[in-house]
Amino acid sequence: MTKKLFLLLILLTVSIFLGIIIGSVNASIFDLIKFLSGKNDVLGYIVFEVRMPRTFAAAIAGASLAVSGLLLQTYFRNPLAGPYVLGISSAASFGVALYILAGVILVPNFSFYAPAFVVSALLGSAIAILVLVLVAAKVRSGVTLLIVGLMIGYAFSAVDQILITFANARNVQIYILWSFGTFSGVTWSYLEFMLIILLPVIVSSFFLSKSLNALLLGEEYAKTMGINVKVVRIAIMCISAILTAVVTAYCGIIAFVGLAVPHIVRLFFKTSNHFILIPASALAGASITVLCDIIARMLLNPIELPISVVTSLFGAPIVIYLVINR
Amino acid sequence: MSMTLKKIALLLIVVALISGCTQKQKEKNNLNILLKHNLVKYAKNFKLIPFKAENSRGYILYVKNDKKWNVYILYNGTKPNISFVKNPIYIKIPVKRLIVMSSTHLAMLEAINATNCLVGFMYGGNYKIYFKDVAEKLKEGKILNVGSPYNPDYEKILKLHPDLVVIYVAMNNYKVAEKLKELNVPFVIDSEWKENTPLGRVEWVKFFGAITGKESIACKYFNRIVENITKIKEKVKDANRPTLVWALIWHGRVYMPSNTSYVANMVRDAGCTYLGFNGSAYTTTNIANLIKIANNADYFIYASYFAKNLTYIKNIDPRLTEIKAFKDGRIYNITPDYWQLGYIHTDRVIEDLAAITHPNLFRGYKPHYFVRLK
Repeated sequence: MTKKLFLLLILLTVSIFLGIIIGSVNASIFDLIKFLSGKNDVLGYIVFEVRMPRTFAAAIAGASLAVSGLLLQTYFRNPLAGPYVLGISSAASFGVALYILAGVILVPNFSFYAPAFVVSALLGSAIAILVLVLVAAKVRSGVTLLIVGLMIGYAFSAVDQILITFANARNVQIYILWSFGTFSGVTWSYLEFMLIILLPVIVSSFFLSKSLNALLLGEEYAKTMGINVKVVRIAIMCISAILTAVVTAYCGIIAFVGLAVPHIVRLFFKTSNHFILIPASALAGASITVLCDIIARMLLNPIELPISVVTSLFGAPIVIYLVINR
Repeated sequence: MSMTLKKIALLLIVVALISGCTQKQKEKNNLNILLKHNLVKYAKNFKLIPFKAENSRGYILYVKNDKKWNVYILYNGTKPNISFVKNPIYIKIPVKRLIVMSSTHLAMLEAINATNCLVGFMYGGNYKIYFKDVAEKLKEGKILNVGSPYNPDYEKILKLHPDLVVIYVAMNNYKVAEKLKELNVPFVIDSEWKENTPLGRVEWVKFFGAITGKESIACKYFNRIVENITKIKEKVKDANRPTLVWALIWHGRVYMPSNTSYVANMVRDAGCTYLGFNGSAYTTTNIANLIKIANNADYFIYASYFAKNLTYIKNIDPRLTEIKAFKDGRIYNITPDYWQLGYIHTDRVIEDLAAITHPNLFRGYKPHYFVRLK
């Protein structure tokens, strides 16, 4: 197991290295070293200011979504659960749609302020998280919570659609583009904020491993093991929701990673022990997302593909292969 | 004692303020602002004020974005120190290496023969470029395709060492400005697309003239457009004002420029009455509402070059065959080059509209940017 985890760590290191050295401009790691040693080198500057923030953002986003997906799949005991099943993405989209579309309708000559997109996505998600946690504290079973999550998603999507109905073609296109997800344009300050929130949350999820292992056999069994199911349920909801909300707010919707990576990891490690699965999902999610981001920006360069196109197109066959051959 | 101290402090503050103001006033005088007035007459989203300092001359450029005015000092010569302007961004002109984001920027540069300074264009590559020189240079790689306006390739942008990047910030690319700022790439956010009059839009050519050192060509070009549009307006002044509807239908949704839009004002300049809705730049409605408003309209401009004939319109919705313009065969589409060449020839676009709607006044005139559907 440790060997395999070590392998994943190497994979992540290699992915990040590739993310840093591959780009549309011929720049190498030596250029970066030159730049960091204080020399005025544009290639090093490109690596440091363009490739590094986006590669690290892809890594942290991939890790977050994979861990979020794993937690939800275990809690709901449903292999189809993923970070977006709780309606977080719809809620984040709702926040952004409200900002983009309502702003345009209500404010003449409306202009955009970049951080407002992130704040509106976070506020939208916060509504969903609040509802989920309140429900999680009251309901008795995971199934109810799953249904509530789906309903939240539908409700927010419905409001989105109302706003879209009243928006003009250009704004609709813009809104749709936002929802595609990309790591383009991630700045160091954005990355800093993402790391400050996401890293501690990912690490804290590790402390749920024992409870998650117990939950694999159902809530009743977990209770007999002395697990406070209600607290764990709320913790799972909070962790998954925050991970998804922050990633969606900064990078838009990134499909597939949260749903598929836990499957890939389970099949690779042939275990359901969360002490292994959580770090493994984080490492695999980060590596896969970084690699997909390289493909997204290089395949049709200089046109960039939405990251979800790559994660889904390249990831789906891998999962199908793994599932059929298990 | 404390009262005396307070008085002394107050006196010091007043003296400091007065001397500060005098200092700024002196600096303003030293700058010898050539024309105290803004060079811009029609556009509402930028101001261009020329100045001449000791070893430099240039413009103080104000551009409205996010309801605030960004200030740029465009200088030729030694960098002037203009402290009475709050947080200005200094840009050395004329710009030798320019990257632009939109085909409307290309049009403005083309109008003043300034495409030579272009080194990059956020093209993406998914539409035809009608400016032959730019298309050729893009093909040869002399102008680099630096990705799409919403996901530009920052690596290529940095490698090009641009003196300036002209961008617009809309909902799909709000991150671009932030990233360029972080990368220390000098950029100007232009708001030309927010102007709601044809002359307001065309006047942005003065901005492109100022940054490329082609001010006089830009002024000549602009004055010619003003003169031509004035002539057209004069010509149709006393004629009857036919009604005109301008719309695009996509997946059952109708998109119409509103009554205060650039299109509506252009239609009015052509001597027509524009039939639209009130509201922000564009109105989204349904076909029933379009029919209601377009029912008795004399002319219908279908704002897409995909419509090749009346059958296309009929296939969108058979109810459209009931509107007056359809029955009279007065439905026009726009040509594929409208969004690019039409931007340089705004006078021609208005003349086309005037000629279509006032055929008696423009006998023998052949419209270029609008095609009658048969």
